[in-house]
Amino acid sequence: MMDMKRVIQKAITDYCRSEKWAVFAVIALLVLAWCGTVCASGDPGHGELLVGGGEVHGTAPHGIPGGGEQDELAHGEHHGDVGHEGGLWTYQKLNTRQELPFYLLLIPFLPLASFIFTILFGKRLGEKHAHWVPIAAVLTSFVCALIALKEVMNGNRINCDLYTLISSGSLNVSVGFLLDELTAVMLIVVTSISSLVHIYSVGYMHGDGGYYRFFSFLSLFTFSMLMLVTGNNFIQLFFGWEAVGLSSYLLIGFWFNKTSAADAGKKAFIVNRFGDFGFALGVILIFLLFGTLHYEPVFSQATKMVGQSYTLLGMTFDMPTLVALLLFCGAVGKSAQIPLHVWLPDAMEGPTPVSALIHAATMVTAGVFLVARCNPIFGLSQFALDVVTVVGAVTCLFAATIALVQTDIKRVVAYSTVSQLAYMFIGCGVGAYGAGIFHLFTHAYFKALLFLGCGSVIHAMSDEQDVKYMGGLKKYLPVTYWTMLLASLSISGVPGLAGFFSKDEILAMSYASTSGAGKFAWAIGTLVACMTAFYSFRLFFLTFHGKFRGTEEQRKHLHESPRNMTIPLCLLAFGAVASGWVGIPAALGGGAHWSHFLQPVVGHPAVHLSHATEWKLMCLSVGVGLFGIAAAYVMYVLKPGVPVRIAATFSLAYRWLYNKYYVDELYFATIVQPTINIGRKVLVKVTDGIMIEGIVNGIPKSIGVISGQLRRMQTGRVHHYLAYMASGAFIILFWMLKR
Amino acid sequence: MITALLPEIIIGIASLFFFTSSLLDLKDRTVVNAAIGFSGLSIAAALISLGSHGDFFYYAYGVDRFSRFFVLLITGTFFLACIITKGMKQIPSEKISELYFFISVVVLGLIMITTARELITLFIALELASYPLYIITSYRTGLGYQFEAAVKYMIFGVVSTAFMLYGISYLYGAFGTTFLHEIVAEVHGHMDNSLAIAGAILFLVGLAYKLALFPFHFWAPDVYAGAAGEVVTFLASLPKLGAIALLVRTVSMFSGMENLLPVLAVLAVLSMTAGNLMALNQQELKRLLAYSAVSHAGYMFLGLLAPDQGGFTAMLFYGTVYAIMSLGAFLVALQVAGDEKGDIPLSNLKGLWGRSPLMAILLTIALASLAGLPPTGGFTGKLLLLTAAWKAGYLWAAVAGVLNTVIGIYVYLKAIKISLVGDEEDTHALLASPTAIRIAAAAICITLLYLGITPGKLISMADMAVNALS
Amino acid sequence: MIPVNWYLTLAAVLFCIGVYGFLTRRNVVIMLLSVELMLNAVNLNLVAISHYMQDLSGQILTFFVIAVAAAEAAIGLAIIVTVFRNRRTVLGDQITELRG
Repeated sequence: MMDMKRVIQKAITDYCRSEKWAVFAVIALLVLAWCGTVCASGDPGHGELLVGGGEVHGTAPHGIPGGGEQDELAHGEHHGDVGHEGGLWTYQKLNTRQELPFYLLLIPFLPLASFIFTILFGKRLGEKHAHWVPIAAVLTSFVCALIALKEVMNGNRINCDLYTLISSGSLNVSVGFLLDELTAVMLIVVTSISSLVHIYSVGYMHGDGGYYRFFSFLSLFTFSMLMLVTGNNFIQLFFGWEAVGLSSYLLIGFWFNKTSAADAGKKAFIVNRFGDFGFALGVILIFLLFGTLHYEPVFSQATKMVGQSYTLLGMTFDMPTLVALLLFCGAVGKSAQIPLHVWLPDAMEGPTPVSALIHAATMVTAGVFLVARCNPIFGLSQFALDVVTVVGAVTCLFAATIALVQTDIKRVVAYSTVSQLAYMFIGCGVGAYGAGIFHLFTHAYFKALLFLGCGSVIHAMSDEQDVKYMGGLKKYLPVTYWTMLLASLSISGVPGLAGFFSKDEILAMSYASTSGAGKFAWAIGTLVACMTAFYSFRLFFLTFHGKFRGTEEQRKHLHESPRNMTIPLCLLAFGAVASGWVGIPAALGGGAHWSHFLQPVVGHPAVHLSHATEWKLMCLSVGVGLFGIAAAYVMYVLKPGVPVRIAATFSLAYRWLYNKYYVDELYFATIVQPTINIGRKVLVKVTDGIMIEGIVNGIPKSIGVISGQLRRMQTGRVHHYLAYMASGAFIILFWMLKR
Repeated sequence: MITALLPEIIIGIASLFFFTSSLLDLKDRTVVNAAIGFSGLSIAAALISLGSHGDFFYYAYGVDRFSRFFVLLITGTFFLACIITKGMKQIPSEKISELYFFISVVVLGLIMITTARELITLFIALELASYPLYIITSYRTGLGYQFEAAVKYMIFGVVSTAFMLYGISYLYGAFGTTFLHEIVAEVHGHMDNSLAIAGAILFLVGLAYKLALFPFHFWAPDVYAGAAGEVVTFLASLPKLGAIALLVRTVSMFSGMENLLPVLAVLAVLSMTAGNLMALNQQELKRLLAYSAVSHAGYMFLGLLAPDQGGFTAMLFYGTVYAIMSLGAFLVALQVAGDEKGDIPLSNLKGLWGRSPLMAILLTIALASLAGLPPTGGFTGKLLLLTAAWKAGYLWAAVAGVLNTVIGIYVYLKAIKISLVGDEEDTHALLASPTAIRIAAAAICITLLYLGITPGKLISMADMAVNALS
Repeated sequence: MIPVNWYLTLAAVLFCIGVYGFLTRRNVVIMLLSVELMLNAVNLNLVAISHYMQDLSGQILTFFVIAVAAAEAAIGLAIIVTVFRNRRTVLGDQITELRG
């Protein structure tokens, strides 16, 4: 520890002596400015700047139907016949506080401080020490998040502006924090996974040239994500939304010397722009409709939109539908749903801890968070909800079918992520936002575990990612093996584990849904449950069972990962098992604590399923899940295992390999090929080939071409310049005079 | 009365001083310090004159809140630019005094532009602010492209002056007066007067040239690329402010002509698109910034569409931010410039983070602001402009603006990426910037972030200035 | 008395000749001359309108325009001379090193 202290002291003194002192000045002044504005916002006049500030203080809220709901909520009885209970922005009635506690500020700003510190001093601290500050910062954030959770569980909420950025006319933009049940859940997910990934990265990134840069970017990402989930207004949401995109871009392209990594980063950035464009339009539309961008006044007046319509380019849209769908555009991009899913598999070019943190557990779930957060808007349009459901269902099937055949270990998990995210959207689409968020919560743990497990495998295999060259890793990587097994069981929906409870909740809710889309999603979801189990265990068996198929060199190198990688795995394994226990449904004798907890924010669909039906559904989904596991077991363990036991001669082993391949082919021809024929040949060709290549990739390309053509105008000849200018002037002149 | 004209007087004295010093044999350092001193004094004078009013020369020259807001802006920019160009690496030693003389004259002309209320005065002021620029474009050590740049700039400038004068002659013919306030009083009776319309259009062409609006921008990339970095620093920031002031003044005058605004909207969208697209694959930093100026001219034009919806305020705000952020970008450009040819290829930025973190931070903030990313002033300014255009009913223009921001982000991120993640091993010598430059860099960073985080104060100042117009 | 429209038309024609001139002539000096033609069109406009409206300010502006044209010629020719020294040419389409 003394050593560490000395290093920091030396770094700081070096820095002060060097000419870079001005950097300090900038930071110090920024901090001062920050403090100044915070202090300034504390004065009593500040309240006027807050849009609708008066309402927050507890005067009569306007436009909230169903004034008696609070009593119902308090008793936990929610099987009424009101269309959609709770969730109608009941903030004023609950105990909402107006001052910001210090720990809440620490949650996002500690990672920010750690980012600044690490990027400035990380290089001098060297690989031995560069990770301490980020890890300490994120762990402290996690503790603060726990405090925040406790605060919320005590029935307290916080909704307060830190300071106002712009207060010009009707435009009021401010940085503010909202702490409620939904935020608390997201805070726990983000900070816990981020802490574990930080610790894991110490081992994983060991020896990498950009070690300190990696940690600083991780901190930057954590800050952005925390700003995204804690904001109390759309601008801050949008800021976080873009900032996570930026840090994701930086981290995907972290190994920028690798062309594919740089391209993947670019692709992620560009594809996300398309979604964000719709999102930005949605936010602007909300501002025009409500004159404010704070959640509280917007959601409490959301019903104002009903019956309004908006004419855009000659088409008339129902207002709530339009707003909801524009917001959903952003969610589709960020959460990699069809047709914007293409970036996520490519994003696997980044370091594996990044895939676990950003592309599995946190950033990609921002879309689900957005839909859940905006449930008062989505709830107003059945059509928008149906779109969410159908997009979810289609993506779910689409991604799962692709995952069946991939051999790159990270890509299988990536497609699996897309498919699981789609489950969350199905949940949100049928109105069961709580179930969607529940799946987000459990998925974060088991999917992060799967990724980090993959990382451990890749680490052991000297950066080999193709399962064709793995196999039999069980004895080399025991900890990874057992934790991955738990994660795979959890994602397959084996009773008792986390994935079971959350997935089942979604399937039950979609079955119970009154809309046709819900029933459709239920059928797809059940089918995909089987596929999920199958591909998860296919991957699992291919990696850990059978014989090692890599090179001799790789075999020699095989080793279990160091302690700092396996401990996060074990902690995540606990999460993958236990995180579902907070929401055991009533049918299984649990208290359904989860949905009660989230109900004030996201409500609960007004449907009632008898326990018997719920049992039947559960049995069905567990059945298909077990079938999937069994199928994988038969195909990847049993059948190839037989020849191994009979004869171990070299040629026979070769034949065994051949047979194995044959099974794969057979499986291809009988089950997957038809699906793939429809799925890949038609769907992938149409969506990937025409829509994605044509629109998503085509636009940047054509922009480049146009740019080249335009630059030709700058010929260097002053005659040409003058001709353009004169013709420009005359065209305008004639245009004006002709009217 | 003296206080109202104090900035003009100080700048006038400065120009006389530099004219004399160009005849004497003073040390470079003395001259540079004198320039910084005079520009600093002029800021003080501008601050003193900020609230004053006064009419001079039979109403031809009117000091009001609007003009003094711009005077403060111009003198501030002048001061900052003097500090940034302190090194004078690419200027021949014997030309430094002359350079400052001409720039003082330009500043005087620009101050007069913002204050003039009559077409003849305006015309003289405009010429005063233009001709010296043609001359200083050719000041540069080494035989580079400076003469080509100067001749192109000059030809382009005089032709657009001719267009503008022709417009003025028609305006005079249509309204029978050269006083702006008399024209404003009569403009509603001349909605269909083709003489007035043609005059207004041709007049605007002259202004569009100054602001480098597509398709009147062609001089800008060549001049930016050809002239010395120090000259371009002045060229890129100062005249734009004068052009904005004049545009706001005159378009507020013509805004009665309903069908003029769609034309401006088309020009704005064309300009921002063309500028961004042409900037896409540029390899030279100054040329890239020239195209960026073209696209920003388009953004600023959006403000003209919404005279009643806060568009002018947004324009003033954005003009201020633009001056600061382009100065920031040029500060870095000058620091990384090579000594000989004066080209600044983007590859010069490689490893900037390792060479001088402060410069890398400044570049990041300035370019992020140019791209319009929060939390910088550029974001706030764009937001104000786009919402103003939307509110005025130009939804399509606002949408085009948002789309363009996307392209812009790509343009600027490329440069940022080169400076931040470039080869760290391949660093050249550390950049040792003088203290004054480092302070200026830090100040620019802070100002841009400050304007992004709490823009309220500047907005209310701009609001007051715009209100003084009516 | 000749109607003012005739003067305006003549000026417009003169202006267009100027525009035609600077678009077609390669020599930068001739291009400058063409601009002078355009400025003279302006002068004609101003004087005619001024006389027609019995208002002197147009004629005052004319004097300024003449003075400015002289200044412009001085600066323009000076720059052209430096270009010629540097490049040995005053043809506009040969001075094209800066482009793109």
